[in-house]
Amino acid sequence: MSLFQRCDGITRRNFVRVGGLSALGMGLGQFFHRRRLTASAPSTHGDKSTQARSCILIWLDGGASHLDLFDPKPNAPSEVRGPFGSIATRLTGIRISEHLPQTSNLMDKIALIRSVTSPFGVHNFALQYLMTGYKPTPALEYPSMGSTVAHLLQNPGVLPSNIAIPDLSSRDGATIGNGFLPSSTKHFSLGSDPGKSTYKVRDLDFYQGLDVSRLDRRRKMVNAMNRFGDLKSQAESSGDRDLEQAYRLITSDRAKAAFNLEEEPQQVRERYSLDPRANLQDSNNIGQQCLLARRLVERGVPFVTVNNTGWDNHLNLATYANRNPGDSRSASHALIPGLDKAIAALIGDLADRDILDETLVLIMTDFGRTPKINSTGGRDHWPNCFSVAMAGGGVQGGQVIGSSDALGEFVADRPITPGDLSSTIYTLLGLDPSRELTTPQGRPIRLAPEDSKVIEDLLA
Amino acid sequence: MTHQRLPASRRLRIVLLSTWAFALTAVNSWGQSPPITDLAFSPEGTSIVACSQDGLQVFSWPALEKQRSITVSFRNLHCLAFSNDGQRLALGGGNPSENGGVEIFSWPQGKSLMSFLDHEDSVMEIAWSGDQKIVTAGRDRRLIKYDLETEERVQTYEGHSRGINAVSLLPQGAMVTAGHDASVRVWDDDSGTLLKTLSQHTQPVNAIAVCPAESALPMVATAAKDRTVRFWQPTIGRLMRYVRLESEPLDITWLNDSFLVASCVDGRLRCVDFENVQVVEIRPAIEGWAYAITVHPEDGSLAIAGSRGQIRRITLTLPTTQSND
Amino acid sequence: MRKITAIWILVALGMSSGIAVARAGDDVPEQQSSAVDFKNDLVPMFTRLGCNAGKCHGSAMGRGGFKLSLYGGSPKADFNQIVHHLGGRRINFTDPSSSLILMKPAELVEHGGGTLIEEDDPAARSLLRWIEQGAPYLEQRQLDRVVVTPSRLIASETGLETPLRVTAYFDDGLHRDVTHLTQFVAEDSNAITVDSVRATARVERPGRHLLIARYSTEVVPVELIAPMTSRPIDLSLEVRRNYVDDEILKTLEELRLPVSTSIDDATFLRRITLDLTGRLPSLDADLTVAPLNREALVNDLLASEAFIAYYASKLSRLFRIQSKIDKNKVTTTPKAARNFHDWLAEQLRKGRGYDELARRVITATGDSETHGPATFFTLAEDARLQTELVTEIFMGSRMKCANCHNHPLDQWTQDDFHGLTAMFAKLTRQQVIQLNPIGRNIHPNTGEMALMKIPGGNFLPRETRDGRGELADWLTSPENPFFAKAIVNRLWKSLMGRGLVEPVDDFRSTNPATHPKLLELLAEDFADHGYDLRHTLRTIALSGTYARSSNPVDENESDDRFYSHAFRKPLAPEVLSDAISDVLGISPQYGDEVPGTRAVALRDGAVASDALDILGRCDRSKTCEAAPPSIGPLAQKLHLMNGELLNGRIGAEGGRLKNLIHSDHTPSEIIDSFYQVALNRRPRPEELEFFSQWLDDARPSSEQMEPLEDFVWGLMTCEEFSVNH
Repeated sequence: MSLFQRCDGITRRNFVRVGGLSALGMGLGQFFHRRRLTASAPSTHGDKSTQARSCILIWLDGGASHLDLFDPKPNAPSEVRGPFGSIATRLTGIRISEHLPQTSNLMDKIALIRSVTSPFGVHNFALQYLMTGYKPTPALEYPSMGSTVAHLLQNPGVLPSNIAIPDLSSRDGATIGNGFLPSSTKHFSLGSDPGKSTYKVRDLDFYQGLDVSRLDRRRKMVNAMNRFGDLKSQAESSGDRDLEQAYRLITSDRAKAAFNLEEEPQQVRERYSLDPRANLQDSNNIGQQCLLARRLVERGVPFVTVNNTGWDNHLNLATYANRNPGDSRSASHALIPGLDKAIAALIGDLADRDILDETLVLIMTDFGRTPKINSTGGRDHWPNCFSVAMAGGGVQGGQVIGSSDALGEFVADRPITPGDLSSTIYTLLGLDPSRELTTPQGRPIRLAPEDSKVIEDLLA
Repeated sequence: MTHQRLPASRRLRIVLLSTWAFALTAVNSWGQSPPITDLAFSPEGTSIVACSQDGLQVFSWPALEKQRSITVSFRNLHCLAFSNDGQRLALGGGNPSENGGVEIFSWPQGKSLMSFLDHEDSVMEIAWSGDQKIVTAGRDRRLIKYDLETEERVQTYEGHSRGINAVSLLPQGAMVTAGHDASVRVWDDDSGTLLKTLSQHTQPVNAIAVCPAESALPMVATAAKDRTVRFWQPTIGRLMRYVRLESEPLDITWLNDSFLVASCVDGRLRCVDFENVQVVEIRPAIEGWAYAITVHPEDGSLAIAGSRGQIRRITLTLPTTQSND
Repeated sequence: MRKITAIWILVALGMSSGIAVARAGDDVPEQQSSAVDFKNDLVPMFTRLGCNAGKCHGSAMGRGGFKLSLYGGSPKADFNQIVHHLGGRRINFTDPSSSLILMKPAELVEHGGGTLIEEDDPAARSLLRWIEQGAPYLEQRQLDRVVVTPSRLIASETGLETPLRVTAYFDDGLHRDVTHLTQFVAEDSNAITVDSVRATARVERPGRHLLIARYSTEVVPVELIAPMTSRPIDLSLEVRRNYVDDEILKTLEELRLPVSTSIDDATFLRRITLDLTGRLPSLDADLTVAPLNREALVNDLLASEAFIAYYASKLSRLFRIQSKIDKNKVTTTPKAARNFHDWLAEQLRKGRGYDELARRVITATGDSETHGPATFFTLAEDARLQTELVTEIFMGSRMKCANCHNHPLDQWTQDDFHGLTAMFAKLTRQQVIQLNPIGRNIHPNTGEMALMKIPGGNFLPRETRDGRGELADWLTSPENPFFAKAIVNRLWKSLMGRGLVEPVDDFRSTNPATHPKLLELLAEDFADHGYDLRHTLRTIALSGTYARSSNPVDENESDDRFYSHAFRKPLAPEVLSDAISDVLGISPQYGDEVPGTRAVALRDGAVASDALDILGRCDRSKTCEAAPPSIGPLAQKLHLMNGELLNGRIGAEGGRLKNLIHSDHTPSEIIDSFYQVALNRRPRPEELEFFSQWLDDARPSSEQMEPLEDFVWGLMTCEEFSVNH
């Protein structure tokens, strides 16, 4: 007798599987064919195709809670529901945190993915996986998406192609950077926060007594020394490229002006700040960070990361809604309301300037937080299921992809891996995820992992 | 037996005498006996009923001779309970990960009267509310109240975030539940409103036992995987005291208003003095896990059951209280 | 009573029937009727199917209410979960085939993990057989070791398929083929393809790759090598000065990697001086007169104060010495930080064996402001972090995972982690380190006080007041498999630019050394020579391998771990900062230190310094083993161009440039002088020719200040200066 037969003669498995198969959508080949007709890769500036030519990654550093932002569980037990309520959005039946009222009004432009899943619950691995699309391995250091994009997309100006606001330093030993790509593709950290009154990108102005001609001579001298020197160059020295980049940036007043927020009208600056009555320079910095990101993509920078800190809070959750943990200055530092304001301002502003279609906006984080609130009223790390939001740049807004289970613990429907995300992001930026890069050791590596799948419903 | 409190000096003189009578449920065709998961004395006190994957079995008491078996419609059985009038027996269980429910039998005839199969996973515990209503607690995180007269669901209680292991009804219309989410919850029995969530347990809670003592504030004990037995006044949300055992308690029952016995993962029973939360007695009972313990309503002897279909009778002698009779 | 006896007979019968086993040398037949051994048959199967992986039921919280120990680390707990938990719901004794434990992986009921077994799988059969046998806990023998054949394979070319065979050896002398119960995972799935059904592996790319075989609790790495080039090479004529060269050349021959040339004396002088003293060589050696006596040079350098200062700073970084004041509570005072640094320097000066140094650190008590090594116990915030610090430093192990569960890729258990933490919990963590009799560490599993334990060894008696002496005995015993290797690997990296095990703080069986034998030999040699750091440094420095050029030859350019050519090492931030100061003749100010203090001599990682931050100094509050410069290459270049670091000093009064100008040197002489001090060579005619477009020897240097400054700036920025090559 067959082990798994029921008495009615059919295997029980059939019951389970019915409806479990997902229908396949439009083939990717078709998608790329369409893209190629409108854009010759790599894309060129001024191309009026619908494809994104820039990406703003709003990174909520430390792991933002899916349950308290984009995937609330109003019907769950209180220890899972948490202290915040939920509100309806422009999408019928879709609710998000009560502290995201402006975002709720923009949901027709935003796509939520509520079923992202990763195996890594520690920051370093989680960060590496989400930012590179590859599971970290000691065998090879993968480049961040920002570096890959900087490597492949053309940048019309002299601004760096991959910029981090205010910085993106390695966390818990995580190596986030250019991986096996040249160091010139590594993110340029401003090292200064546009939300702070002391904001200034350092070392852009000539040192006293120096001018263009002297810097030019210095550049020629060091290039000559490298050329004549004892070291046989293994490849084109990337040190030269960094030097060239620095030289071009310093000598371009127009490029440097991109970093100057003072050029923005007061009302624009206020649009991005949580509490206009509060001192602009002291308001929650994510708004001004996003404003600077907009200025940069407007000038053709392909990849900007807004690295907003403070989300790794294991203690009292309620502080997310009123102030930045550890910051006692004013209620205008509220993390979630600040994010709400920033998302709304950024997406609205990009749309007003008619560049939302070519700017991909991503809201991502290390992982979610534990559904059950811990003994200190906070939530701990939870990579099993969390949310990511996307807008602009060819994203079909107004939809929710995947879902979590009743308590937000696990994926209930349509698991999405960080690899799938990277595959989708590259596709939106007009880069074929199966395209191969070559390591210095001569190994071909796909942009996105072999087993990753593009979330086709996301493509407009 | 009275519920008179023992003087502290005499309390340690409790003597537990065991009769080494053992019963084993029928050995199945594979030569194996499934574990007994719950026990109850029949209303007349002359037999004891036990449930397992082999169905419902009735043994004579105190001889523990098998009298009969009754087939139940679920694969796994986890709980049983007699109605207060002793006329009906409710059996709870299910087909794991598929469904769960309760089947009602007439007693002593053992005739199936009705069954409900509304849970999405096994029913782990049943509580009677009078003789016409029952509440079932499921692995599917829900409790359902049925009216047996109309054969209808009258209430669903949602709020536990994990499977529920235990449910007890308190005299004044409150219901206490506990389960895998390590919480003890207090509900308004009628409206289904969740009143309180008590979260001092750090691991899943296995059992609840209501203290027989009459007082304005009802008291319950809970036993959990964190190896503690905790004593509560649940209606005001107060944890009174707790004791940590050497082995995880799987089931608990009160002997009187001063002493409580627990059957544990190591097959032993432990007797806890509520007053000073000391373990006053540890006795081996069965081999393996002791899932169920119950006390005979009249003679105060105990039945413990668990792994491989074992049941043991342990006679309990409380010399001081008996002399007060 | 009669019935009890019956049960016991049944169990006893189950026990005695035994599994099919073979005597050494026999082939092992599979016997279907044998009793299923829970630990040795079923647990490995759960691992192979992925049930107990961290993302499924092996997660700390379990999954779907069912929790297995990570990779089967606690079979007894797994047994209880499966057989006893929740009233035994997962096993159906009445109808074994409808047991949940079988229906879930077969997906006959909804299963989040999908279909893992089919009905004709051996896995499904043995599960069913086990339930029919009464689902007993059988652990008939203890696993002794697991052998995978081949354990190391050098394929003649890529694309060839290799069968894998796994044999488990048990403590009762029996062994059996467990290939079908073993999980194979390629570390890099693009480099190795595994067919887990047929148990074969194929190397897809040239190079050395790893495959991890996991059976039961054992993880065994398998090394698969495909040559980098098509033709065999002959390295028999290469210089072999000691066992280092033998091992390195052997691997290179296997990989068919040609080697670069050997370096000349001038290059050797610069390389070794930077490596051993963190300084540019002084100008007094005239290499044109006689060939350099490299051995004498190495000995001189090892005996110098500069060596002591440099290696004290390296040890100081390893121990992460950094003053810090947290929440108004002093944890490590600046004085305590300096004190510990000075103490380390003193040990180096005395030539103290590293074993004894470690012992004194581990067992230290007293006032950290007067007794240096006591500072060690002020550096970690709590006892658990102290455990991480101790294991990282002295064992090269990351034991952090074992805080919450047994380490998934290593041998460490939670008992190991918490047993070690129990020792450190007995210390006051204040300026004065004392025994704290009430200090204890609560084991998260039991909720009770954890007993002190030697990692991988015995528990200490409950009444032990201070277990650190026993820890030190164990650690510094010559048999200890971690201690010597961890430090010689770091020494190797400091000279060769890459650890044999990388990262250097991640020793585990699943992260084997590139040259395992060499690591063994270095560790043995180190222990045999009194744990003398200088001895090992000397051995490496005098090898032919160390003296290989950093310029690649054809076909070895892509080598990044086999030492066919030397790896260029960017100068460490402190070394670079000192080198710049030495060339420019002016030092920057570091914090409140005495002006002129060298960066290498800073005794506290918390001393403020913009220069060091720009150059990428490591934040010692975290591990410094693989910290990339935090500021990034572009920001660094911007600062070099417009910042204070160079511009503030190049043309400053009192600096080398100004002094040379004041003493009427011509531009050519100035260039020559700077080349010698910075690059340790003379400029070539074509270089001088190039600079002549801006610099004219016929005019006084003082009138050519700007181009001279620009020349010095170029020198400080060029690759030849800022790397050790």
